[in-house]
Amino acid sequence: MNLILSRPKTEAEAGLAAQFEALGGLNAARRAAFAQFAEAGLPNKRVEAWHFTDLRGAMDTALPLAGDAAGPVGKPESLMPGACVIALVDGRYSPAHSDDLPAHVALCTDTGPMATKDSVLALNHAFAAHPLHLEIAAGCAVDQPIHIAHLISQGQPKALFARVAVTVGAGAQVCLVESASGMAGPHQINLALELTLGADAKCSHIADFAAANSVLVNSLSARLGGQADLHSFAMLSGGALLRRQMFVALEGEGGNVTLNGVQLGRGEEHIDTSLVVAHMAGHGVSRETFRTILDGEATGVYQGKVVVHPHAQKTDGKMMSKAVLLSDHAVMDNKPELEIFADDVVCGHGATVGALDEDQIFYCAARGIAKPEAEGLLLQAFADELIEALPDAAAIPHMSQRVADWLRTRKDVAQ
Amino acid sequence: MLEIRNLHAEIDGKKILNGLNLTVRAGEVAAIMGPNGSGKSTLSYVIAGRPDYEVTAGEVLLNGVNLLEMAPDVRAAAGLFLAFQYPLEIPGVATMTFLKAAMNAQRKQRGEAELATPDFIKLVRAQAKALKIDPEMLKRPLNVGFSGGEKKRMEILQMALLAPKFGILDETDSGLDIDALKIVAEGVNALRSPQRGFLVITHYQRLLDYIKPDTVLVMSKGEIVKSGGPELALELEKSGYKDYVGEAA
Repeated sequence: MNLILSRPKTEAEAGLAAQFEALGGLNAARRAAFAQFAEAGLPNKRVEAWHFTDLRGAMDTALPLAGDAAGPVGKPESLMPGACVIALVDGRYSPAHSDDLPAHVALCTDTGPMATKDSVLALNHAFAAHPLHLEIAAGCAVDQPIHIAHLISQGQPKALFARVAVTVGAGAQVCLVESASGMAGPHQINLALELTLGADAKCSHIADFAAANSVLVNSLSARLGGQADLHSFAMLSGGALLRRQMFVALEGEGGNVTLNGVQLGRGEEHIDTSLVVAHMAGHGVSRETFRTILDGEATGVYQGKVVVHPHAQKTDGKMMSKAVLLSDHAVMDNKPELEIFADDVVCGHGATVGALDEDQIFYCAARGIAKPEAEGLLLQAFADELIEALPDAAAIPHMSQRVADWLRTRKDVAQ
Repeated sequence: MLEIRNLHAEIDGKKILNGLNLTVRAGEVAAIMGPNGSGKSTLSYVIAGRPDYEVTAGEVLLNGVNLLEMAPDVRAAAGLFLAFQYPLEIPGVATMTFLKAAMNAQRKQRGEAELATPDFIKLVRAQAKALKIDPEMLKRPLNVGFSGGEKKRMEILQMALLAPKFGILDETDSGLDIDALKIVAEGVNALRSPQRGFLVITHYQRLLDYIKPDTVLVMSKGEIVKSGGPELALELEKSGYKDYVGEAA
C-alpha cells in the first residue's frame, strides 16, 4: 500500500499556484516546470540542499507578479568600463535600455531550459515569460564585456522572474557581467543564468548582487565542454534572504572551473552560497574559494559539493571557505562536501570561521591605527585577496570599492 | 622623558611586574637586561598598551603625560614606538599601504594634514635604502614570508618613518645574524638625537656593542634590581644573572 501524505500548501505556495493558473495557455515545458515546483513546494530545512536557508519561512505570501507596465527604472551601475549593457526590465529584455550587441553576439530563439532538480529554479522556468538567449559565435573572442543588467522598476513590492541563457560556441571567449539594481522593495526575485560552453570556450563571469531588503535567489547553471574554462566571481551583500546557487557540470575532458565569491552580511541578513560541481569526465580542474564577513546577527552559509563521477579520473578539485565573524551573534554555516566515485583524483576542502586576530589589531594600534581602521584594513585585505585574483582586472576597482563602502557604512552603523 | 613609577601589572591573574621604577632622559639609551621570565617583554607590552595585560598600579609618563590612560593607537600618535620581538604578519596588506595608513593615522590624531603620496614614496624609498630593504619587498604583504632579519629591519623602517619621541626595542637582536644586526643597529643609531630616548631590551651584550647604551638596567622578577653604566653589561656577560636572581628573591 502506498501512503501519500500531502502537505497543505503555504499561503505563498497557494498564491503562486493561483498566479500560474491565471497566466493560462502556457507551453508544456512551463507547465511541467510548475508541476515539478508544486510537487516539492518551497524549499525548507528538510530539503538537504536548502538545509540552512528556509525560503518557505522567508516567503509569507506570493507577491504580485511584475506586470508589463514597468515603472521608472534607474541606470545600471557600471561594473566594467566600456561594457555592452543588455538590460532586462522586470525580467523582460528592454532594447530601449540596452546597447547594440557587439559583433559575433546574437539574440536567438530559446532552446528550452536546462533540466534541474531544484524546485526554485523550476519555479523560475515556469514563470520566466521572456527568456533571453544570447549566442556567441564559435571561435570568436568578444572584446567588449557583456553586462546583463536586471533593472527593477520602482513601485510596489513585486515578484520577478528572469531567465537568461548564454551559449558560448566552441573556442569562443566572452566576459559576462551580471547585476541587479532597484532591489529595495521588499521584492521576491528569482534570476537564472544558464551557460553552455562549447569545447575550448572561455567565459569569465562577474556578478554583483546587493539584495537590500528583498528575497533573491540567483541560480547559475553551467555545462562545460572539453577544455572549456569558466571563472565566476560574485559579490553578495544584503538581503532578507539572498541565495546564490550554482550547478556546474564538467561534461567534457579537461574542463576548468573556478567559482569565487565574497559575502557581506550585517543586521539580520541571510546570505547563502551553495554549489554543486559535477566532474563527469577526466582531467577536470575545479576551484571554489569563498570569503564571508558577517556582522550583527547576520547568517552566512556556504555549502559546496564536488561530485566526481566514476570516469572522471585525474580530477583536481579544491574548495575553501573562510569566514570572519565581527559579532558574537553572527552565524556561519560551512558545509563543504566531496563525493568521489573515481579512484585517481586529488581533491581537498577546508573551511574556517573565526574572529579577527587580536594580536594583529594590537600591532596596528601600536603603529597608530585605531581599532576600527585596523579592522577595516584587515577585512578589506581579506576580501581583496579574492578580488585581486579576478582575471578581468577592469572589474577589480568596482569590487574592491564595494567592500570599502560596506566597511565604511559598518562604522556609520556602529556609531 | 620616560618615567615609570611603581608599575604593577599582571596577565590572567599572574603578577609579572612588581613595582617597577625607571627613568630614561631625553637623548639617552637605556638597556634592560635580565633572565628569561623577568618580565622584560611584559614591560614593553604594558607601555605600548596590549589589552591582555592588566595594570594594577603605577604610572608610565612620557614627557609628563600618563600613557596608561590612553588607547594604544593614541600612545603611538603621542610619540611611543614599540619594535616587536615577533612582528606580526598582516596578510593581504601591502607594506606600502600599511606604512601609509600608519603615518596618516598618526598625523590625523595630531591634527596634521595627510602626507602627499609622492612625498611619502620619496621618504619610504630613502629610509628603505639606508636599511638595505629591497623596494620590491614593500609591495608584498607586511611581514608575510619575510625572514627574521627582514622583519626586524621592517620594524626599524617603521620607526624611522614614524619618527617617535621614544622607541622601545624588544629583543630586536634575536634571530639576527651579525650583518643584519649591524644594519639594524646603524638604523637605530641614525635615529638617536638629543630629543629622543630609547629603551633597548636584550638578552645579550652583543647588541650593545653596536648600540651603545648610556645606562644598563638589570631586571629580575618584575623589578629593576641594579643599574649601572655600559660596563655592567660586560660584567653580566661574564658572570650571568645568578647574583641578581638571588638578590630579588
